[in-house]
Amino acid sequence: MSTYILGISAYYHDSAAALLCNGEIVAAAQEERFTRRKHDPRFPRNAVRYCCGEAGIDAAALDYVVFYEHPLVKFERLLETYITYAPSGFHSFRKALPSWARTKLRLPQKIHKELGDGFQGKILFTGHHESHAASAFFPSPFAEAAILTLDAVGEWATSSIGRGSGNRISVEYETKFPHSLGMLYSAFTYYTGFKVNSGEYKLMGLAPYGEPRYVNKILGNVATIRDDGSVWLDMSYFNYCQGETMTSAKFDELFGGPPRDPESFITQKEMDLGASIQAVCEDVVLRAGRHVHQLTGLKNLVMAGGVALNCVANGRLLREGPFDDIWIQPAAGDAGGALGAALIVWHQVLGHSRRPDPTDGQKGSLLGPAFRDDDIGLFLDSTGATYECHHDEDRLLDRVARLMAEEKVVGWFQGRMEYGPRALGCRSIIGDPRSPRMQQTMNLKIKFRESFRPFAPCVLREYVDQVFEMRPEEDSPYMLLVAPVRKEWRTTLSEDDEHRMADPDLRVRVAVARSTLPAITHVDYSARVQTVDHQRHGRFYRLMRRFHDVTGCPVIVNTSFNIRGEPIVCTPEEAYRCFLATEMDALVMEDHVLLKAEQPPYIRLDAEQYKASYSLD
Amino acid sequence: MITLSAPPRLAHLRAFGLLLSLCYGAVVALLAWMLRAANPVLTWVMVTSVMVAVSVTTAQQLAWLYKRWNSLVRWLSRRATTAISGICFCMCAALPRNEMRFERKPRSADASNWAKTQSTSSIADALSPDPASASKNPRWARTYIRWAPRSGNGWAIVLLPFLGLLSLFGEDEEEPVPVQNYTLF
Repeated sequence: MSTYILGISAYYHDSAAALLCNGEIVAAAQEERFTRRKHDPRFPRNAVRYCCGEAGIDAAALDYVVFYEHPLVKFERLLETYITYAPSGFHSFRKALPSWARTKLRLPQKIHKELGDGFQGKILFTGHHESHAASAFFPSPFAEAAILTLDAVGEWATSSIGRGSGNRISVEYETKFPHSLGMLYSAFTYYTGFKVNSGEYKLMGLAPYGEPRYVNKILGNVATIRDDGSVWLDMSYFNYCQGETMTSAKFDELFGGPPRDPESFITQKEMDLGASIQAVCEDVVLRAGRHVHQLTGLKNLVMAGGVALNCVANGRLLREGPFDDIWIQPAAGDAGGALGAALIVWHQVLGHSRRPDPTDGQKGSLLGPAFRDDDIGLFLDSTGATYECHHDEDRLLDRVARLMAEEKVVGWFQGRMEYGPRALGCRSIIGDPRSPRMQQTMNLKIKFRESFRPFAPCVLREYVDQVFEMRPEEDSPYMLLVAPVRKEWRTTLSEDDEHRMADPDLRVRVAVARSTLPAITHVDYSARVQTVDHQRHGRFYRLMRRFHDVTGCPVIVNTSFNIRGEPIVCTPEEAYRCFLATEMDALVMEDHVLLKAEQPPYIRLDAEQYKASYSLD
Repeated sequence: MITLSAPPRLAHLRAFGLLLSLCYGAVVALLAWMLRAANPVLTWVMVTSVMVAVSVTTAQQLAWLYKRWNSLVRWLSRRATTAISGICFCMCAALPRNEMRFERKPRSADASNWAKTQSTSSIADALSPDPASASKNPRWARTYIRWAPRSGNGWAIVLLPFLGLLSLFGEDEEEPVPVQNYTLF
């Protein structure tokens, strides 16, 4: 008889569900992909329904449902925070308490209600950082590894150190709220005018434009960083414990003015602040990494938590840190907690052994819904779309590779949807990185944004060391490492380029070609690398091989299949709508190829209307 | 609190009219009985019938009243929630506590901020990942009462009735949190 364990994360941000059958990951997905509401924190009822459907079971077959954190411990932290700051903080308290009274303190009832009367299993709870740690260690390829989780906050812990061995993990040390690297980074995200909890990666992308001239100010006033990578914050500079902003007036005074208004012009100050907090973050991650290594003596490290999505810091830790190898959970944020919670029950609570997969147990993080080619064909017929169908994969790949070589932007919808924040080649928009126009076209005509960040490259793993400063065959399948583009691919900037690099408008600077792969090369020659291999990526790998055969280039541009503010597409309908609303040239869904130019004139979707249906992130 | 579906469909308006008619008929019948003016049952039947007929045929005109109901419920809900939260907040600030885990003051310059992980089993054993002891459907109030003293927050038990009230008065739709804030809850 099979044992089914459902992991759930919800009611904070990025709710998700993950299902295990006898310890095997059957399915995992974030709720936002189904509700089309970015970072949806509500109970993941659609994700749960999908996971159960993928396993062919209903809620009655679930043996355990595991929630990814302890609500009562978190409630204790909230109460103590408000007590500490009383009489300040009532406004925030007034918003927090009703949701706790109605939902979060009654989670078992809520779960029963959502799953229906059929559910007869048991409800368990794990710690927030235990869930992160489990999500990092259990799917990793290591039999034994040190664990580092870096987050904003869970219950009390804001980061933790532990070790994993065999089928057990232990979380041994932690830093406690309110002292948090994640919170510190989010405070600067807020101050520089980006959305907290989603704009952190933009700040990371902004950093290369600036000089870290505020580091001393940060370390001398706002935060104290110990040699062991622990962080202590001077709370007088922050307002997140009691107020509705991240930073206080004292913070504004220290950095010379109020926070930047969202969507307003980005000045050199924001760039320098970005560079400064990024430098601090990298320093903390490196110090914490060395400390973990000292404590555990282990040669491999696994990581999770929101800060583990900082791929620049990850890249430095791998290159400069003491570990031989690092594995990072691709759904490193709270969504990944659902998977970790389920895995901890299977291995640690129920005591089942674990045999690490030499590749890893995450299955390329392709754990979401897939759609049959026949169903896609039926859907396209129902819309009246014009398409080509290539059941012969060779012909299909040849067609797509040639379209890309002609600088066409292609929507690529294949197989199972990704679990985690990154599109890894199944719900992706892809293009030719050699094209000097690709970056602008993708940003303005497809993503509908004026971005200062280049796109991420996908590289055939066998070529990774030839294009980037990485080791031969080094794995980065989840786009969680940043590495420099090798010198031989870089170009020398002309006088005109140098002049454009001084332009206050970042869109001008990012458009300066710094390598023969301009669409993926940042101003500091770095790139957020995803390696693509045959084992994990199947058809996507074969497409890249074909593109390489056609062009000699082992790299393509990969960005998520969505527009700004929209969750990544999940279904063929959503992909088709996005294709129609944007200026994508082609859409490939399984064996079906659609060209924009060939679509009937009566099929149109108003781009403005489409954009308006998603709020800016 | 009971908020009605918005925007209403015709069936919603008719159901709302029906309910109003029943309540209105009952009030008039009660008055008739108190004043001994007429047979209360007959009065209730007649008044309700007329009201039902009117509300069903003029359902669209009820939309205004329907919307007012939601506004009134929301207004009451907000006031009640604020008042109850205020009481809880005052209690949090005033009641004595044994020890706090929250640390705001700086430590000495060389002290590490890494601390040995505190076992959560003593704090939240009712929710611990132990399948043998995990209940299939634990009662939240009982869990809360067991948790509060063990976490060193025995005083938090006094919040329990207010939490119950808050769940009664809470709005069906939660207030959106500011997008620029990292909510702690």
